[in-house]
Amino acid sequence: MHLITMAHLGEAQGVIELFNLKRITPQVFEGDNLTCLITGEGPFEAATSAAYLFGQKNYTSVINLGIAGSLSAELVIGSIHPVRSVYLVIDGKPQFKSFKSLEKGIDCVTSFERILSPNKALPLTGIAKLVDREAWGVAMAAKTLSIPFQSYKLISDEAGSLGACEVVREKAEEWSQQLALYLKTILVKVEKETDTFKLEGFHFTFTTRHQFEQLLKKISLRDELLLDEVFASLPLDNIKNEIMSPKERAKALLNFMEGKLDPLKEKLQEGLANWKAISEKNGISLQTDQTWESQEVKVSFNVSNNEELNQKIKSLAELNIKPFINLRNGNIHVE
Amino acid sequence: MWNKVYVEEHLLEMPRVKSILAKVKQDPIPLGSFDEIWGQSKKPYLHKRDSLNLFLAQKKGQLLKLAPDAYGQAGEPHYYFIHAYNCIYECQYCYLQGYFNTPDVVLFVNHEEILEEMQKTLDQHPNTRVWFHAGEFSDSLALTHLTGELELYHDFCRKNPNAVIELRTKSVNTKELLQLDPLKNFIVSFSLSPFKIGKSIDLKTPSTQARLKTMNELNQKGFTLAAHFDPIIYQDNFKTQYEELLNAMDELGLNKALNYLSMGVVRFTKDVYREVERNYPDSPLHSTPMIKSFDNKVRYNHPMRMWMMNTVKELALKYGIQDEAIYFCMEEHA
Repeated sequence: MHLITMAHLGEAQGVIELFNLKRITPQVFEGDNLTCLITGEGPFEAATSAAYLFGQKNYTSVINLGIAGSLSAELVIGSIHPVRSVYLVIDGKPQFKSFKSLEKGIDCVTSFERILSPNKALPLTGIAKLVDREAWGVAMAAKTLSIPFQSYKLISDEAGSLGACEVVREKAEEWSQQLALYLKTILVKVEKETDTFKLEGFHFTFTTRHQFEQLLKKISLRDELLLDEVFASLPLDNIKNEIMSPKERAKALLNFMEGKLDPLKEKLQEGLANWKAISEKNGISLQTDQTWESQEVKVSFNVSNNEELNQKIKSLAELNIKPFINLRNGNIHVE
Repeated sequence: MWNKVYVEEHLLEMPRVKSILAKVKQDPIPLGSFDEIWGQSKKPYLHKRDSLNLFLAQKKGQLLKLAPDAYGQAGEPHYYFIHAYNCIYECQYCYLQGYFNTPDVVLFVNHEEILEEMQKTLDQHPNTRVWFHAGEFSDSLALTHLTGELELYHDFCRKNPNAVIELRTKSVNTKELLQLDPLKNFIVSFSLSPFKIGKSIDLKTPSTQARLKTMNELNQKGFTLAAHFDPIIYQDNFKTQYEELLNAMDELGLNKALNYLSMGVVRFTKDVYREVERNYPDSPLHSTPMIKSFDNKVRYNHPMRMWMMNTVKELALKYGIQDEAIYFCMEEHA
């Protein structure tokens, strides 16, 4: 279900008619797949009325549609534009929070007050090319609940110019229909489904699945291959044939992928294992930082009598940390 | 180039401001202080591509800052001065994308006050060489054709042989610089990436070839030069790529001329890393695993960065750069 928010009933008339929406309350009109909310003017009015409606139904997206003043002479009156980012200005002061609407488009600043003179419009020209009265409020409510938000604006006038209200009133019906037709084209766009890769026989947690997807992307970037191609190149069957649990298989797969990306990983692991093996043979366990950031080595062993203790002390005297430091300092031969 | 130009009202009559405005050919929007607008709203970094604003302002507060450890060659005091916020270039690894809340450029015009502060600082270190770096928050040459302040800083160096000014840049905009005499203590340092990776990550900057050509020109005219291989980014053939770069530098006779060469492997604060992921999801920067390092920065792991720096250092030595001229930047072993 989509929620369409518009400031005035006049603007929304075309949408109500084109989509055969039923009047539920003076502010809410409903159809099969969309609700149209008349928010009223002002960012806080828009935020509260939208937030109230979010509590009533589960909306999959919020589309703010309506007229806006232009802050740039380049924009043609009557043209409709997707909005890229939405800013807020209160008493001429820009507010910190801004919201993304679409990847591409024109920026819009929502003003707490009407912009009725060129002097008020001028400082806003560096912030955005459009000025409206409600988009930021709707975006705030939608983003707080993580509902996808989009905004589209029809240029009604040059902000701060005289006689703008009269023009808007005269053109209200025409623009309302234009907005409705535009909305129809937006709703037709089918959202592309994201690819998911099936990994039967592997057990991933939320975190390890995310790790897997990140590694897949990194390999695709590095090798300049499509994700499908990288996925097809993974040794899934080999890992599946190993006798191990699905969780261990997932770990082995991640390990393999990390190794593909990190040119030193294998050599470091090999070097570290060889260095540890000498001490482990004598019952001394060496623990190092997995990320290699710390140079500290934790040495531990168990003894049950003096003889064993003396043996361990003798082995400790032979322990050499230098091979580990060399590895940590990247003294490795890599082609 | 600029979407809008804002000027602090009290600076409107300043000759330097008038000169900048005459060059940008745009009517200014007056405002009390630049930060009434600048940075007040969270403006996405990539909006700089089509709506970059310029602010002309007076730098207040601290005009000079002590540089962090391992910022420059060790053993001498290093400071950086702030002549601008933000940059016209778009390097994918740039920390500015997560540093300010806006990509809009601020040019500070009170250079005389900055220089006064530099003089005071210099006087506090008698008989010591003191370094002043420009370009911490913006490229130090890219807009000098507009700002015209180089002469003042050059003059400061001429009068103070113990002061060293370093102009860090990726620009080839040397029109203003070439009008000045070369001075030993007025160093132009170029950040260089290998040719191939430079093309894909140093967006909107002059190419590495163009930078080398400019370095050559400055070298011929006797200017003091330095270079930064920072950030070094891992690619399968990074060694070959650096070999090509150093070879090209050597052929131009630049390696022997370098006053110093700093090296640093790519690193980010957590916030900047997040911004880089958001702004450049397909960047080669993301193709090698990174970890949270000793200083909470996101980097390659320790063996990897040491291996990379040592590999590039060996190459630099092979191509004639002196050992004592090389230093590792922002690394615990610097």
